[in-house]
Amino acid sequence: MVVGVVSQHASRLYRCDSCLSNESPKLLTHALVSFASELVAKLGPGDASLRQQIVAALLPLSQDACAEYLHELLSAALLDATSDDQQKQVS
Amino acid sequence: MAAATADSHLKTAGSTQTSLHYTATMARSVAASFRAKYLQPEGQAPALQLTDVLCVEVAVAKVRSHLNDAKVPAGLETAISLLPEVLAVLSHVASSVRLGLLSCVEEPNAWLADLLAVAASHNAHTANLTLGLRALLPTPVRAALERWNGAKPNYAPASVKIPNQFISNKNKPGFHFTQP
Repeated sequence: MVVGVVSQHASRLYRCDSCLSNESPKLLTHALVSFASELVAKLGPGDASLRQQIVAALLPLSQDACAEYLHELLSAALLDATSDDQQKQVS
Repeated sequence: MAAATADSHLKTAGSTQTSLHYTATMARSVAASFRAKYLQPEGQAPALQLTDVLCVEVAVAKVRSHLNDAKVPAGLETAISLLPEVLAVLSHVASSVRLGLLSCVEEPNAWLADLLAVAASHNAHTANLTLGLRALLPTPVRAALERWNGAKPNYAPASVKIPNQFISNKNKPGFHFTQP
């Protein structure tokens, strides 16, 4: 796992020296949003405050011009976080 | 976070078959280090360093592996307990990315960062507004933004073995194989 993470970052450094400031935060942002997305999918009916926390963090990101490449992931996570449990059960 | 500390975290995380408890402790430690170093009043935080980015991503990858392991039901509780830290890191990284994109202009203003924060173009209902907002961005920033969003890295899951591009023959100078 550690080798995988380091390899992902290092391979981008290898390809382009000037990408350090760009590519690594991009990978990290994706990992953090994925974490929130996976977590929100596992939350139960009593976790409304956690959903709110996640929405409060992801909603601004969904408007961020620098996070357009995460649009699909963010949309899915926000949909999951904002849909009520009844909808989830039906789907 | 000092490079030595980061190296220690990475070695320990990589060499130990970690329990959920260990993962949670490691993740909290990494998050606390990140918070202490970067989550400071505006303008005082240092630029993101690769060692810190790696440590946070490794910690998150480990927590995610427990979260998605059906045999570890407590993984969800651990992930929930780490959520505030993760969201704080996410917010800071997003802010750093905006500032990073603005580094191509000589005098980046705070309002340019605010502009970037609301100028996503995927919403059809606000397309005209977005176009107007983006027109206010300096040309180099617009170009950097297009490059930034245009390049989509292949996000392989951290737990999946990734081909090592450094030892691949085709990437080694002088080791190119040619088809007959």
